[in-house]
Amino acid sequence: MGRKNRSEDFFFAAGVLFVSWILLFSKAPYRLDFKEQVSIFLFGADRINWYLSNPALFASIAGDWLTQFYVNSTLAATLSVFLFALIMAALARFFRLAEPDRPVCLILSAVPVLFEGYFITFPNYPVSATVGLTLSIWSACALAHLKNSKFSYLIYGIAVPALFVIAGGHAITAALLLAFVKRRDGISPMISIAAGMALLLVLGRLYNLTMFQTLLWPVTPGYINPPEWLLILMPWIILAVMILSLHYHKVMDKRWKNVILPLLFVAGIPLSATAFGAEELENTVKIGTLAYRNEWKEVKMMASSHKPGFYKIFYWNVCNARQGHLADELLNNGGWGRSSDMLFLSTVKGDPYFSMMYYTDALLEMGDVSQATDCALLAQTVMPGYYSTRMLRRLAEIAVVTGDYAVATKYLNILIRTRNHRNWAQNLLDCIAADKIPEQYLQWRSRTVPEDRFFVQGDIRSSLSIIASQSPYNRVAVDYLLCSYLLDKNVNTFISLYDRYYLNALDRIVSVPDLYQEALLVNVNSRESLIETVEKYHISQRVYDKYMQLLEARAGDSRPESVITTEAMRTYWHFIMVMRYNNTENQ
Amino acid sequence: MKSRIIILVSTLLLLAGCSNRTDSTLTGMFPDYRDITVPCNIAPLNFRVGQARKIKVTVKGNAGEYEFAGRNGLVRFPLKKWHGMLENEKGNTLNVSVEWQTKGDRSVGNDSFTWTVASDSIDRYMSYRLIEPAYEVWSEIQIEQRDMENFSSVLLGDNRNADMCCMNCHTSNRNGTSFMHLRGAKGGTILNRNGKLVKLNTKTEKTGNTVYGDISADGRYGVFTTADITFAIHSQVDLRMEVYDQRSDLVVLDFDNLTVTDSPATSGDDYQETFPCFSADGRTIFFCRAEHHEQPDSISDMHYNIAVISFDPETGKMGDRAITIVRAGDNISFSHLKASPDGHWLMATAARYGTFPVWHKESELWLIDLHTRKIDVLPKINAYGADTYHSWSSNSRWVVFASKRDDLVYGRPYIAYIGPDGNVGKPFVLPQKDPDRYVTTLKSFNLPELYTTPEIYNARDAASFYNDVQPEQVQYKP
Repeated sequence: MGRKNRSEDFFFAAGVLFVSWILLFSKAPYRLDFKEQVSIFLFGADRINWYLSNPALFASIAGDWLTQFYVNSTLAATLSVFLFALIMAALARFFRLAEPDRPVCLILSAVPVLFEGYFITFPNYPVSATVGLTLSIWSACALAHLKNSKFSYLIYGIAVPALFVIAGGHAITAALLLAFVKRRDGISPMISIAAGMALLLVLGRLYNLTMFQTLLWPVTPGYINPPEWLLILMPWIILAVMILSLHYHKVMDKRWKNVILPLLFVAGIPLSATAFGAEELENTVKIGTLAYRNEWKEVKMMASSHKPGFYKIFYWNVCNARQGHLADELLNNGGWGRSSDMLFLSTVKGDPYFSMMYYTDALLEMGDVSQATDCALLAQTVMPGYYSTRMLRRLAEIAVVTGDYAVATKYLNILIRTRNHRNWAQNLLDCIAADKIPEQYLQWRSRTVPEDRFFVQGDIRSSLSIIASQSPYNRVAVDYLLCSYLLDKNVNTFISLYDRYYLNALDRIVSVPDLYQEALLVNVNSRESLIETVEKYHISQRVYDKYMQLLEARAGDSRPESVITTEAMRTYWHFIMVMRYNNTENQ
Repeated sequence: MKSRIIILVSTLLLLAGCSNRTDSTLTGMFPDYRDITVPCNIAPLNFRVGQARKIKVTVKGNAGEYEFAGRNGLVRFPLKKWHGMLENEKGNTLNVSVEWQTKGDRSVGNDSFTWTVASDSIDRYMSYRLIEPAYEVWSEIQIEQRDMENFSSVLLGDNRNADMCCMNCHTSNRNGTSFMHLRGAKGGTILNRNGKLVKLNTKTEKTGNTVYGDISADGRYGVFTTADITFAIHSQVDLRMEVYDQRSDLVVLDFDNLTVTDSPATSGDDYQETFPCFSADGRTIFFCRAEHHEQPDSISDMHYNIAVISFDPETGKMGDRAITIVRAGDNISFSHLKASPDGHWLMATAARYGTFPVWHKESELWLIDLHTRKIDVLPKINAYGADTYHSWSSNSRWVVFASKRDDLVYGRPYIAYIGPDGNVGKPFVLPQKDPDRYVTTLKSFNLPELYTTPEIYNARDAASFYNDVQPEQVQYKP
């Protein structure tokens, strides 16, 4: 291969890496950041035991160590691209090793990087998997240097399972590459490599892993990862790239610009589009991350953006609840639906753990520390690596809120050994020692209930009723409870709860939201009852006028109801008359 | 040049990533091994001294003086020298002096205390379950068997290759019989009977799935609770979760004939029976019993007494009359009964109410003298934070139990000495190669069990039984 071609290859590789960096940095920063939130790098005795009792020892340690830096999106993108560069360099080196006398197409080494770039944009795809791939390809390079002898065959047989121990399931990639490079050296190396692959599967069993888990490790199936079939195919894709590069070398060497670049481009589009077009996933991670960092202004800005999403609406309501405006803003974000879609999240086993993580933000605001603890423990438990710095912080916070300082200290003692959370943990430990608990935690503490009652896990309304009955001035809890019945169009229950918690109670210290006043008028069916309702609930002149306008419009207008009520947009009347779904008693 | 840049960048990243340990909470000795009575065969009591650099440990006994050294805050006793010392000093009290130099200011600290080496050994093996203390969800569960004389361990169960199923206690009678429940779609009870493994389906048309249980001294019978277990959450967060039985009865399994029997005295809806155990002679079954109340609303009215029912090992049948031997009263509820193998003691967990004391921080261990019926509330053993699920050693001189005293959430196995006269020693946590394991783990060590011979299967065998073996159906015998 000529100097010119090499220089073109170099610039092409640099271009691919640069574009990868730009895309990762600009389109997936929060997904990369999230990796740090759901992992930990900790050299504690228990963590070391965990590393030792699982394959991919080196890849896991190195991957977890690198993941610490993913908290910074510039570093995250840079480190990812650095690993990609290592993969490309290793593959390029392997191409040359495989066919030293023939020109090869080094550019094709970008194909696995395209896949890896796609994989790494998934929030749970661990950095250790990319490290494992890098390590495997470089190991294959090193092993390919061995001259054929009985000793080298023995080494192949041992190296593949050994590589599994240090790099994980990508040892299969190394085995396939080795088999390819040794394909002309007779049957002995093939048998040896095949024996190594068989040993790898046996070893997986010794680690108490299923075959599927063995091939994927350190990726844990069942999380927000790339499709598992694609991960399993990855070693074969690399092998295919290898064959392609060598078999069609002449054609490609002459016309790479005309053939390969478009091919790569075509291959890259669906991957890039899927990875970087996954805007909803990025936004889901982003909004939760902003809340985690207490950047509530940004959370609200994002939640009020034009494209409502499931978690955006949830956070829209959390932001408003924090400011005491839950009911005022409930219908102002377009994404109308049931309470289970707008206010509450489901947290049973099998639900996305985003729900468990994010729900704690709302539950703490409501004063439902009991369910917040449950959610935080659940989220911590179902994490792929069983350690989440984000959930450890939340658990420590909850323990401080409840005054369980021994529990808080347990979590803080773990966090204090991490790079990113050391200062935070030390500050909180100091606060505990000095009995100077931060104001936010004291506020949450003041909302906890004094008396003990039981409720079924996940039954948020029962739990809110308990909180509201014991702390009637906990406006966030009361508003969440009332709004949940409004969204479900259960006006009768709303009115009975309003009578219990707002009438002559909360309404004396806060102004009653228009939404509640509108809902209180829904069941009015005569002039007498209108007067009675207006008087009983002190309906404001503004709401009364709006209501009368609506009645007049309906009386003298033959247009469809939806058109009429559109004029009353953003009122509860519009919501209850136009929004359609099943199971409402007042529809 | 390129390589230099790479090395420089890598070094900077490495330096930035290294965490300077600032164990502000690990000042002093951890774990607390001061003034304790230890078995003569226990693994080295490795400990840490927070902020210490060099540590010198001098142990003075009747048979000689022993010196040990530690560094970077950790004292690791050499295994051979440790066991030599314990062997020489059986029955003696050792004076332990610890001196250390602190990191940074290099100031010097010291501490001294005693270790009493009991001539009674502890059973060589202990099993426990490693599980996250989440309310009702688990991810990885492992049942580990630990050698009490050193730090080696093997996994008896690992749910990663068994559909992530729930795995319950591993229970042994120290005489060749043991069982472990595996839940999940392909689950069953793995029974090891004299070296032969079988998987049992213990649910019959008349009786439910078996839960908590005990094995008779000869290994032939098992007595179990069958229960519909459910849970509710307390609105007060420090109380966390309440697990309760909507109904519960007792059954006896004959492991030789694979039959299950019950008794009208331990069945029915009026009472709830649970946590049964055999007496040492195998002729009596102790169990907990409470009048049924609607739960969870009336759960605070569920006060389990300790009751007995006779058992005939010839026919494998329970008697037809249950007698209450210890009344719980209005503020106590008993659970986790375990009779000592010498027939002298019955140990129970006492909580304020209910049947699941693991989340009750007030839970304590109580010791009942079966000869005099006198109750010792064991102030020297108990601590706030839930002391539960104990197990006796085969010589009745040691109990191991799961305690949450250290952080109120994560259980750790504590060991305590029980003298022939009922005098007890201060409990100490199971020694680890590096005690830091307790600090950084997010798993609870629960359901500890002591036994003398190692289990004949491991996690892979358990997984094979889960995945590949059809369970044998236990038959109901009226």
